[in-house]
Parts: sequence; structure tokens; C-alpha cells
Amino acid sequence: MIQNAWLIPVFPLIAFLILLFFGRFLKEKAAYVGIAGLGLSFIVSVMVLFERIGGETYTYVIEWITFGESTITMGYEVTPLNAMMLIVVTLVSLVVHIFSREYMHDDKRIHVFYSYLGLFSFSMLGLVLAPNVLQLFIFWELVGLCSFLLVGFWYFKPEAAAAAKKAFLTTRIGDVGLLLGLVILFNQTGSFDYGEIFAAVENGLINDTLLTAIALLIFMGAVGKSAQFPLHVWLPDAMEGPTPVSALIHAATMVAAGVYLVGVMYPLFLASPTAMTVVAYTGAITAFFAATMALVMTDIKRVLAYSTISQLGFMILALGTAGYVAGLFHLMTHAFFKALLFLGAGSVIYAVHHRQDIRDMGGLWGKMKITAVTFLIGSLAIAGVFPLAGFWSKEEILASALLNGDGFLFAIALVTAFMTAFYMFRLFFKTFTGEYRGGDHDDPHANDPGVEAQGAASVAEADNPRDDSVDQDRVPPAEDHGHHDAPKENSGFMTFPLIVLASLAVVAGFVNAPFLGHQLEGFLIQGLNVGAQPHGELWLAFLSLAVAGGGIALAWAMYYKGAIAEDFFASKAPGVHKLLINKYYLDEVYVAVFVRPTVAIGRFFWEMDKSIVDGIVNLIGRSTRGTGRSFSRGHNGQLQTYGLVSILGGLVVIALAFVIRGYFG
Amino acid sequence: MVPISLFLSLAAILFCIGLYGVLTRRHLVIVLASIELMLNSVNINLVAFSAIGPFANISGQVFTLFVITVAAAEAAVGLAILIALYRNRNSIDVIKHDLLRW
Amino acid sequence: MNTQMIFFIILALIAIVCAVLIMALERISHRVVSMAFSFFAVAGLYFLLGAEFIGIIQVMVYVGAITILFVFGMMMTEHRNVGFGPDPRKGQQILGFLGAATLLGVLLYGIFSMDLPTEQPYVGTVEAIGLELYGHYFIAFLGSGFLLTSALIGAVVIARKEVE
Repeated sequence: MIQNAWLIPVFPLIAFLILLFFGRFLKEKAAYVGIAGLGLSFIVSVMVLFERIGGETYTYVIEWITFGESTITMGYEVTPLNAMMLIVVTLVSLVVHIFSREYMHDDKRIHVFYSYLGLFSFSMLGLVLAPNVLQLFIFWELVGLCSFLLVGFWYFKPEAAAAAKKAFLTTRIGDVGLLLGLVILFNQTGSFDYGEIFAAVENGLINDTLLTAIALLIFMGAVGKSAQFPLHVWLPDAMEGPTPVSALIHAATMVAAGVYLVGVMYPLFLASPTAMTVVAYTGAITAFFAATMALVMTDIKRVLAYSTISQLGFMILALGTAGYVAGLFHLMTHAFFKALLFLGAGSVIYAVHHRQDIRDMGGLWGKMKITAVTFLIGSLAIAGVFPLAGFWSKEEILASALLNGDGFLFAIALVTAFMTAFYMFRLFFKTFTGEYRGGDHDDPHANDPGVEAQGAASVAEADNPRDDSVDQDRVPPAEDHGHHDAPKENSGFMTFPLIVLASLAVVAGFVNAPFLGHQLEGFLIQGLNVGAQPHGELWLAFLSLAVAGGGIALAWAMYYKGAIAEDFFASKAPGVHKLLINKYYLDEVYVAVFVRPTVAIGRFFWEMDKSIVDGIVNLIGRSTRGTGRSFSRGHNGQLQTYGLVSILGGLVVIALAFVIRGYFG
Repeated sequence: MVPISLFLSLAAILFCIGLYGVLTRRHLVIVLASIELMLNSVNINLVAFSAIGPFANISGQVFTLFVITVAAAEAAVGLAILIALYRNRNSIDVIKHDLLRW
Repeated sequence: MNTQMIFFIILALIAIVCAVLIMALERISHRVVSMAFSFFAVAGLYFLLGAEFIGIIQVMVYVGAITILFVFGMMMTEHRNVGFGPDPRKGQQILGFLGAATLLGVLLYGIFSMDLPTEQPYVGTVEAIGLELYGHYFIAFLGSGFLLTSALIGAVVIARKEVE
């Protein structure tokens, strides 16, 4: 079956094509086409994985272009890393497909939605299977396109359209870097194939400065895709897309691509200590900043978005501190529990009539038992509680930061882990415990001062997290749900994916558990020269657990028990709170520094174009029309006038002949 | 013997009178009459050249016959059109017929 | 000043004056009569040039047939109120006159600056015309026959009343 790994991306592609051509006839049944495609992909992926565990790396390429001494190939490759990624991507994509069947069934364009999902899955799977960086780059761009389409799926909402544009443009900055890096790489090594590139790196064919430059440029691509500081701003805005899309983007496809890129090009990074340091610090800074912002967000999806950025920072940090397996392990576990959390959030949002503010929720524990329990499992997993998945991977990241990084990185990782536990349980308690606060549709927080300040100044951003009135209108048929009454548990299409993911969030960590002998590590590093993997001692596990417990306890005290007032910290340090609410004013800074001048330059040239270039064109057109109009006045239908004009014209010709040729003498 | 230039001058004068009539008269019958006048002046030229031109021969007179034939046909069809026009538009004032317009 | 010259001047004056009268007279019937006289004078000029056959044809076709056609055309249309009121196209009148006059000037200038030899007048007999017509110009002669036939039919079709 490993020879047929190419089938994995083909099934979603077929689903996409079917929906593209026949989607409008299928309507809601489109969901089953997508589910079937992904289901087949998943089955093949599982078979491929099992075959790969006992077997060898399988590569199949055909020559695509040959010029001079270089040959560019196309094909596919099954390595340990992408065998794992295939499982993650197909599984998450499959459950998202199933979940969307219910979540999107009121949308008239559900078949379009499923066709986009199919294309998205196809792109990501193609990216994972690519045997060379060029093919990877092609699918990389396809992934970017699909995220644009899906984030802007509700394009009639200006926020969604702006968010899609922002996501596309922001990741584009990184992509330019990636492309430059690939060009230099090809220039130096004459090949796009992973094997040949790494061989060239190991043999020292590239000088150190250039190597660092290449690594940093490639990392730029990862920064854009994986929403690392300072290009993270698109991810929270991407929450304007439908919630299942957020789950897909955050867990399996879009943002995972960046981390996967670093993982796939890892030998290149290892060869450049400078690049590794940059990677590690970028990851740490991102993890920390995103976590602080997640502390104060009130939109359920935005909290999760910042949490994703923060967790991605963790992965990058691990990769930057030589924790190859730790980073990729966390990528896998995070995919499961983040998909779980997002789908849980989607379930909640669907149940409370498409509202997203956690201040309007609460008390859902009794009303939505399955969602609540699975969400709790997800929260525990991301917080890193034993023995859930997040515990194992986070502990390894901490170990790698401690052993291969420096004290600063370790401290940041620890603080971030604490904040992670805190904000996740803040979210959990606010949503599921206490009284239900969303009984009426009026917006009790419409005059939130911090929010107004935030929504005011930015041109390119569309991220007003408190836009409840819009949220209600965003899916026009949302009013037809028939559940204007109190929220209740959703149907099996929604709860089944949650249960699947929750069980995975429980067990996924064991694949690399120390007492089971680090199975995943042994699998992933075979055939790779990535150095010894760091492993923490037992006290580190307890420290990690204690930090998580502390965060959970603080959240419990503040939001469940009420022992500490909810605005305790906000009132102590209003400046900091405002800073966080406004996301460090990064959007505003970007708008002022990049967007405004660019727009101003664009406007200047537009004016130039309008007044000068268009002016000339218009002048020509207008003079032609004026001439025609003045001549048409002579065209009055009077035959005698025509005759007179032709006689006079003849006389003029005679006069000319007379003057020029001297006729008649 | 009358010099040929006098015949040619007479033809030119008649031609220009006919032209003036075609360009300025409003009555369609008169416009047609002016056209006949112009054709006549051409005939004068043809006959004059046939009789006392530098290469005098019979061809000029034959051509004159053809011109007269065409003139007769033209007059018949032209007047028929004129009658049809008058019946439909109730006017034979040239100014009123300006349908041939943008 | 020989006899031919005197006849030429008389006939030319009649032709020109009658032509001017076509333009100048008030009543449409007078104009048509004036036109007939003008054609008649031109026929006299043909006799003067020794083209008797053409002259006779001119009298028959122009003075006889075409003038009668015009009389019919005049009678079947607007012949009572001949004036259409003042002409709104003053520029048309003036420019038409100027154009025609300029053209005349150019033509006369051309005619009098030409140096045409005066030879013995050639006298074309009817026999010569007949030989030429049925020999050299036979196809054209047939064509003119077709033309006349189609003009006849066409005139009838155009001018008849539409069948209700």
C-alpha cells in the first residue's frame, strides 16, 4: 500500500472536483462526498503508516524538467515524519468534515464549503508528501489560497473579507522569504531534492553565512504560515471564518505547514547555530506574547486562536533548541486537542445561536454534557495535565529548552505553560460553569470601552471581537435553527468528532511516553542525523505538572469560586490590561508603519494614473467623440447639403491640384 | 464656323445652372428637371467633340444616344419615386425628407 | 460673323435664358414649359453641329416624352401651392450659388486656356450611327434595351397604388 500513497491526496481532490462540477445539484449531500473522500484517505494513511513502521522510506519520482545538469522531479515520498503527518491531517480533516455536516447545514453554499475543504486537504496532503522543496512550495501556496477562500467564506461580511485578505497578504510576506531561500538553495546545490540538499549541507558545500541566510529565509516562510511573531496578526482575524475551518487551519493544515517545513528542513537549520538561536527565540517570544493576549480575550475563538499561536511558539521553540522530536510530537498532540477545542467551541457557538462572547455564556455544563466533558479533556490536555497528550509533549519541550537552550528560554516556557493553564480554564469556567448569561439577544457589553478603542483606528483589520450583532446575522438561516430557547446538546454529527478527538487527546501522548520507550522518537529519527534528543528528568515532569496545576487553581479561584475578583488584575494594572486587550497595539503599529504608507504610495500612483495616464487616454477618447459629434451635426439627412459639401470638396481638390501641380497651364 | 470652345462654354454654363438648381431648389420636380439639364449639357459636349473635336468621329453621337436612353429611364423611375413619395409623405419638399440621418 | 455664329448665339441665349427661368419662375407649369424650350434650343444646336439624327431624337425624347412625363409628375403632386415659404437654409443658397459659380469659373478657365485645333467638321450620317450601334456597341445597345424595360416595369411598380 505504501506504493499507493499518492492516493491519499487524490481522494480529496476527486471530492473537490465532484463538488466543483456537481455540487449545486448535491446541496447538503455534498457533505457525504467530502466525508467519503477523506475517509478513504484516512484508511490509506493508516495502512501506509503501518507499512512504513516496519519498512523503509519509499520514494517515487518522475523527471519533470531537465535543464543543463539539473533535473527537477515530481513525485511523492513516505518518510516517518510525513507518515505521521498524513495520519494527523487526514484524521483531523475527516472529523472536521463530519462536524461541518451539522454546523454548516443551514448554509446555502454548503457544497462550496465542502469543495474548499477538499481542496484544502488535498493541498496539505500534497505538501506533506512532496519529495522536494519545489513541489512543497507549490502546495504551500495552494494551502495559502485555500485558507484565503475559507477564511473569506462568508465574504459578504466585510470583516471576513478583510480577514481573508489580511491572512493572505501577511503570509505572503513570509512566502517571499521562503521563495528567496529556495532560489538561493537551488543556486548553491543545484537541486531541490531533500536528500541532495542535506548531503550538500553536510559536506560543507555552502558557506556558513549563506547557509544562515537560507535557513532564516526559509524560516520566514514558516513564521508567516505558522503565525509566529511578528507575522502572527492574521491568525486571530482568521476567526471570521466558519468555526470548523478554524479547527482545520489551527490543527492540521495551514499553521502546521510552517512547523512541518522547519521539521523537514531540519538538517539545514542544525547546520547553522545562528538560525537555531533565532528560531528558538522567535518561538519563545511568540509563545509568551500570544499567551498574555489570550489571558484577556473574551471571544471564545480568539482565546483559542492566541492559544494556538502560543502553542506553535512552543513547537518552534522546541525545534530551535534541538528538540526535533519534541516539536513534532507537540505538533501531533496539539493537532488533536486543538481540533477538539475548536470543534467544542463550534458546538457551543452553534448551541448559543452563533454568539462567541464568553461573557454571554456560562452554565452550559448541565446543558451540553458531551461537549462540556470533551472540552474539559481538551483543556486539561493543552494545560499539560498527566496523563493527557499535552503533558508528554510539553514536558519534552521544557526539557529541550532547559537542556539545549538557556535559562531565559526555559523561564519563558515555564511562565507560558502557567498562562496556558490559566487562560484555558478561564475559558472553561466562564463558558460551562455559573449561570447562563445569554438568555436575551441584547448585547450587554456593547459599550465596552476597551473594545471601542480597539476597533477604531485600524484600516486593514476586521477584528472586533465583540461584534455580536454581526455574529447573529452572519449565517442568514441561523434564525431557522429552531432553538431560540435555551442551548442544548447538538446531534451526533457534532458530538461524534468530539468524542473521537477527546479519546485521542487522552491517548496520543503515550506514543512517546518515556515509560513506553519513546516509540515515536525512535520512529521519527530513523535515518536522520538530528543529534541526541533531550529528555527531562522526573523533577521536570513534576515541575510542569505543578505549573499547570497552579494555573488551573488560579483560574478556579477567580472564575469558579470567586475567591479573587475577576477584575483583580485588570484593576491593579489597567495599563497592562489595556495593552493586552489591544494586542500590544501591533495591528495599529502595522497599520501606521506599513499599511498607511503603502496605501499612501498606492494612492499617489493611483492619482498619477488617474490624472496623467487616464487623462491622456480620456483626452484622446473625448476629442474623438467630440469630433464625431461635431461632424454628425453635418449629417442632417438633407441630400442637397450632402451634394453641396461634395461639390465644395471637389472644388477644394481642384484648387489643390491647381496650386500644387499647376494644371490648366 | 463656330469654335468648339463656345459650345463647351455653353455646356458648362448649362451644367452649372443645373447644378445650382439641384443644390438649392426645394421642389423635387425642379430638382429632377435640373438633373435633366445637366445631362443635356453633357450631350452638347459629346456632340460638339464628335463634330469638330480634335478626333472627330461618330462615337460621340452614339454615346449621346445612350445618355438620352439613360436620361429617359431616370426620368421615368425618378418621377415614379416622386409620386410614391408624395402619396406616402404628402409632400415633395426636399427639406421635409431627411430620414437618411443618424 | 457668319450665319452659323448668329444661329449659335440665338440658340445659346434661348437655352441659357430658359435654363435660368426654370430656376427663377414662380409657377411649376411655367417652369416645365421653360425646360421644354431649353431642350428645344439644344436640339437646334445639334442641327447646327450637323448631327441631325441626334437633334431629332432630342426633340422626340426630351421635348416630347420627358416633358410630358414631368407634366404628369407635376399634376399628380403638389402643383397648386408652389411656394414652400421662405427657405430656412440661407447658407445653402449662398454656398450653392458660390460653388456653382466657382465651378463654372474653373471650367471656363480650363476651356479657354486649352489650345484645341479647329478642323473640318465631321458629319455623322444616320448610317454611320446605325453601323456603329449594331456593330461596335451592340452589347451596350442590348443593355440599354434591358435598362429601358426594367425602368418601365420599375416605374409602374413604384408608382402604382398599394393594394389594400
